[in-house]
Amino acid sequence: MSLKSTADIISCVEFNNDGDLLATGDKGGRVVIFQRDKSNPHGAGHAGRGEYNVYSTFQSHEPEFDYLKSLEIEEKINKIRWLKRTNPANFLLSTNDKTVKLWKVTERDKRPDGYNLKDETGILKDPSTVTKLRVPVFKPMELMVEASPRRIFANAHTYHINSISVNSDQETFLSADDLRINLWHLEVTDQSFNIVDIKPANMEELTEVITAAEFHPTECSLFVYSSSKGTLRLCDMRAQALCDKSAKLFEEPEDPTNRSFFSEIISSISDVKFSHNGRYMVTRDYLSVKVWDLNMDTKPIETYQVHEYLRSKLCSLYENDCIFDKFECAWSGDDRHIMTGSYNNFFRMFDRESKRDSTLEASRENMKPRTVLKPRKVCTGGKRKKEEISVDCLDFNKKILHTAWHPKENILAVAATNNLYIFQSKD
Amino acid sequence: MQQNLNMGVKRKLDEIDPVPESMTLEYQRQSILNISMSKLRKSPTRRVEPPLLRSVLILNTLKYIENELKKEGVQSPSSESVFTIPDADPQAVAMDVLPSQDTSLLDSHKMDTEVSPCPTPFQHIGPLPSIDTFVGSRTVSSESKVQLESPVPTVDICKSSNFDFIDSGQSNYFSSFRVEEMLSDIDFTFSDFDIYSSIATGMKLTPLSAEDVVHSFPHQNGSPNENYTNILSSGVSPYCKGEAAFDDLENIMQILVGS
Repeated sequence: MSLKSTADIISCVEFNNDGDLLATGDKGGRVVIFQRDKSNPHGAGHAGRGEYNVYSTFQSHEPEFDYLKSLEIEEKINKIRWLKRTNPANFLLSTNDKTVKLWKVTERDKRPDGYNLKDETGILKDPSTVTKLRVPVFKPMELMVEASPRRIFANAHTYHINSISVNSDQETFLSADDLRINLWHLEVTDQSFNIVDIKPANMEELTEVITAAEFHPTECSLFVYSSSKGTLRLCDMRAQALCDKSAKLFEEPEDPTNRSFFSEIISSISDVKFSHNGRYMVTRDYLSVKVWDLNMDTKPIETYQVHEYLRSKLCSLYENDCIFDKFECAWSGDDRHIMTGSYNNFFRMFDRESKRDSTLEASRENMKPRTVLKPRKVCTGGKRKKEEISVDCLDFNKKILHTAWHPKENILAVAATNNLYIFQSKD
Repeated sequence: MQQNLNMGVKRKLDEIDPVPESMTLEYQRQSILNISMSKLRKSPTRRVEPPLLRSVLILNTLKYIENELKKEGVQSPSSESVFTIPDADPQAVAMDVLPSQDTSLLDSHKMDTEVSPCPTPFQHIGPLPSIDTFVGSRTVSSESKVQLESPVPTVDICKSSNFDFIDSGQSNYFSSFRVEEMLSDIDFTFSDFDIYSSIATGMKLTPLSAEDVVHSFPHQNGSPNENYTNILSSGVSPYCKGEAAFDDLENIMQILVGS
C-alpha cells in the first residue's frame, strides 16, 4: 500500500435512520455520503435494486497541532452518527480524536432566475436599460448538495474520542474518550457535562480504559460503556450526575482453562451495540462476539466465535500489533443477524435463530454486480480442502474493521481498507 | 578391557538435553516481555499521541508477567535470600522483573549487557516498583539530555535500578546523572501528569495550562477558577509525587552507602 493512499483508508461507515443515506469517513478527514438510487425501485420481475451513488463529499476535519504537548491531532474520522431527519436537511455528527462537529447537508435543486437589476451572469445592469419589472422565479437546476458545519464541540476531551452516540431524545449526545464520557446538548457548544470519569487520581494506577459507549435506542436515560477489561457498564443518568457507579455491571467470569498471557488483551471489548429493540447488546472482543440480555449481567446469552483459529497465533498477532485491532459489529434490522469483520477481507455473519454462521469475502474478484458470494472457510490444520485457505496464508493487512447493516433491509456496507463494498441479500 | 562408553548406546535427545516445560514457558514469557518493551519504546511514525488503550494493555501484560514471576520466586526458594543484591553486572540496567535476560532488549540502547549465567529468583528491595518504572527506564535514552528535566520518570529509574546503582560510574545511563541534579530539576507543580502521554512526547514533560487542568476534572456549574481550587483541595496534592521521590532517594542512599 503506497503512502499516498493512506488518506483514503475508510475509518467508519454508518447508515442513516431510514437507510437512504450511507456515510463513510476516512483517515484524511473526509466524509463521503452515498444515496440510494430511488429511480430503480424493487419491481416485480426484474430484481432492480437501488444502488448507492455518491451524494456528497466534504472535508470534515483537518489535521491540527497541539502546541502544549507538541503532538499532532489526526484528522481521521473516528465515528459518524446521523440524527433523525425532521426536515429536508440531513444532520450528522462526525468526530476525530478531539473535536465533534455537527454537519448540515442540504440539497439545492432550484435557483432564482429573472432578477431585475442583474443579468444572467450576475453583473449589474445599467439601470437605464431596465424598462419593466418582473418577479424572479425559481427554475430547476442540477442538484447541488452542500454541507456546512453548524456546531463545533471542542476542547472537552483530554484523551482520544472513541465513540459518539445520539440520544433517543435527538437533543443530546454523548462523546466518550479513553477515560471520560461527556454529555452535550446539540445547541450548546461551550459546555458539556461529564457523566463518567474513570481517571484515577494517580495515573500510575490506570489499568482500564473506556473503549466504546452508546445510548439506549429508546430509553433516553440509559447508556452503556465497555472497557478494556471486557466489562460492560449500564448507567442510568437519572441516578446521579456523575455516573461512575454503574447501574449494572456485565462481566463474564474468566475461563481458567483458556488463561494465557494475552487473556486480558483479547477480552478487551472493541465495540458495543444495542439491538434495535433495546433488549440486547452485542459486544465484540478479539476472538468472539457476545450477545447480552440487559436483564442478565452474569454472562452473555450467546457467544459466537469469529476466528477461533487465531487463538494459537496470539503471540505473533501481539508482535505485529494486530491483536489491538478494533473490530466493529452490527445488528441486522430485525435483530436476528449479527455481523462483524475479520482478516483477509473476510466478514462473518451469525444467524441467531438457526445458529448458522457464514464467512464471506469482500474482494475485487466479486466486483461484478449481482455476483453471489461464495462462502469461505479457513482450515486450521490437517489436510486443506480445495476451496479452503490455511491460517498461515491469511493476509492480516486486509482487515475489515468497519461494517454497517441497513436498518431495515438486508443490505451490508463493508469497508475493506480504502474500498467500500455494498452487499445485498438476494431474497 | 575398557569399553568405549559411547559405543552401542543409543542416545535420545531428551536424555541429553531435556527441555523442561518451565523453560519454554519462561522463554515465551521472556519473548513477550521483550516484545512488550520494544512496543512501548517505539515511537509512532507520525507525531501523534499513542493510543492509551494499547499502552494500558501492554503494561497490564507486563504486570501479569511480573506477578507470575513473583509467584514463582516465592514458590521455588533458592539458596540466595530474596533480599540480596546480585553481584552482577553493573552494566546491565536490569529490569527487576526478569531473573534471566538472554537478549538484546537492552542492546538497542547501546549498552553492553551480559547474560546472567543462571536464573536468579525475583529480587527487589522495598515495595514493588510501579509499572511506570518499566516505561521510565526504557524511554531514557543516553543521548537525550532532556532527561534531566523530566522529573518523575527519572526518579523512578532510580527505584527500578536499585541494584545497579552500586557502581554508577560503569553505567552509561547514570554516569552523567547525579542524584542532587536530578532532584533539583524536579518540578512538582503539576497535577495531571500521566505516564502515557509522556511516552508520546519522548519523556519531554510540559507543564499543563490551567485550561487543561480544568478540563481534566468533571465539569461543575461554577467558574473555572472554582474548579481549580477544588482540585487543590481535593487531596490530589501536587506534591504527593515529591514525597514518594524522597522515599526512593532514601532507598538509593542506603544502597550506595551499603547500609
